[in-house]
Amino acid sequence: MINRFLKRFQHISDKILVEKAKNGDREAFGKLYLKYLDTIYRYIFFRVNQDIQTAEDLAEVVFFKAWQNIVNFAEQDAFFKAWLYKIAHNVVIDHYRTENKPAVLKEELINENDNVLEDFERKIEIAALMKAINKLSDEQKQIITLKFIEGLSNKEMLQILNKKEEAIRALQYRALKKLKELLS
Amino acid sequence: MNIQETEYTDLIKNLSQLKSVIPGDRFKSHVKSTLIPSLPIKPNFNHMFFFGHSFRIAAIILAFLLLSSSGIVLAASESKPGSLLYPVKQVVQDAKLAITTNPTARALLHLEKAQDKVEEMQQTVFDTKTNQFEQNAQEYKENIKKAVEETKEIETQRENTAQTVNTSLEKHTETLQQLQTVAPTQAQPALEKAIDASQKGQQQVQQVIQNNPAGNTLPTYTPPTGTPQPEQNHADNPPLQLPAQSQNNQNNDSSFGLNKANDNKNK
Repeated sequence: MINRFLKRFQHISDKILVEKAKNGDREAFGKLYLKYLDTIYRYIFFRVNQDIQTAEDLAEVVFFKAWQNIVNFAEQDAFFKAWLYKIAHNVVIDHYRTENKPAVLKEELINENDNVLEDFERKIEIAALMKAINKLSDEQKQIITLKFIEGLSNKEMLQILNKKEEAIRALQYRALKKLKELLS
Repeated sequence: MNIQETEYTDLIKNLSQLKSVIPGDRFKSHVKSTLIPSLPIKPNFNHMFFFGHSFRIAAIILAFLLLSSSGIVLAASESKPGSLLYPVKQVVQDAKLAITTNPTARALLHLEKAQDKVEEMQQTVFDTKTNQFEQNAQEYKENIKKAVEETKEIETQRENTAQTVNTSLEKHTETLQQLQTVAPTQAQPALEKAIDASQKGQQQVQQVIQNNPAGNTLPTYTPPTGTPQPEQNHADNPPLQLPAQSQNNQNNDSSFGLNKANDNKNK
């Protein structure tokens, strides 16, 4: 009940900020930027081989594009957050297209993320999990990030992925199964 | 099937902990202090929505082929921002990028575009009514990033190109820093962003040079005005000709075109 109320409140708050941003209010867009920076960064991070620099660069591009195109954002088509994820998805695709190289696992990666890992009691388990995620296909990484890390509902995922709900469920199941295999 | 009730419960629980992955404080403060303030004043309303990406590339290539037979391309290659032929030069640069696959040529084309953006920034620094300055800074950053990425992809004579990029970026940084001293407050965040991009690019190409055993031994090379040739020997090319330097600022090696900014300010 409270969660539903908070979601509704967040949605209205976004709506006001988006309208202001559409009229050129940079400060309003700045608030949206800071509000969704973590989530967009994380989404990109897990899709670019957990490379911090690339994730930062691409996150910046996502918000720049969002600002450039905010006048075209149609509320009835998607929530603002879903719209941002769509932009992020396209930016990642463009990144791999221009890079023209497949995703490569960086073995030394886990040690570079000390700031993330030090917060966890089970460092080794989490490190192994991050390493395993990196071995998933791009689509599986996307599903795992959106559903199980970000906690998006299937309805929200429909807006981002343009797939049917059954297909999304099947993808979730396969991604989890693969992840478990990689961890065992 | 309810995934929550299956054997994946522990895994899902662990995955939810990864929500703690967040950008570093340095990046967040960079976003607050530089990236948000450097956003263009108003969102861009002038997109070509009805043109697909492929259509635009095809149109650019077609324009390039048509123009190249008229001698305009050659004349445009020497043009400066603000001149009549400058838009032609930009079309030609995009066409070349669309058809060139050689990383050396692509790196130099992006460097050339970045150099043009520095000049455009000098010309638009006092224009506070449009978002052109911020747009130029963003495009400068993107071109530098691509130039560095392409440099890393080069297989032969990588150090020559890296050296060229390094020298150009060094000059860009100096020019932009000097521009900072005369720029209005509104332009400062975008300038910060451009300088940051230039310095980061320098660090990355210097790493390329250091990692190459033959590095740092050859003279520098200017981005060509014609189509860059694969496998070309940079040492055979003429010395670096910075765009506005020859016209406005011959005595100051590092601040090409800065006088132009001062002139604009006086106007």
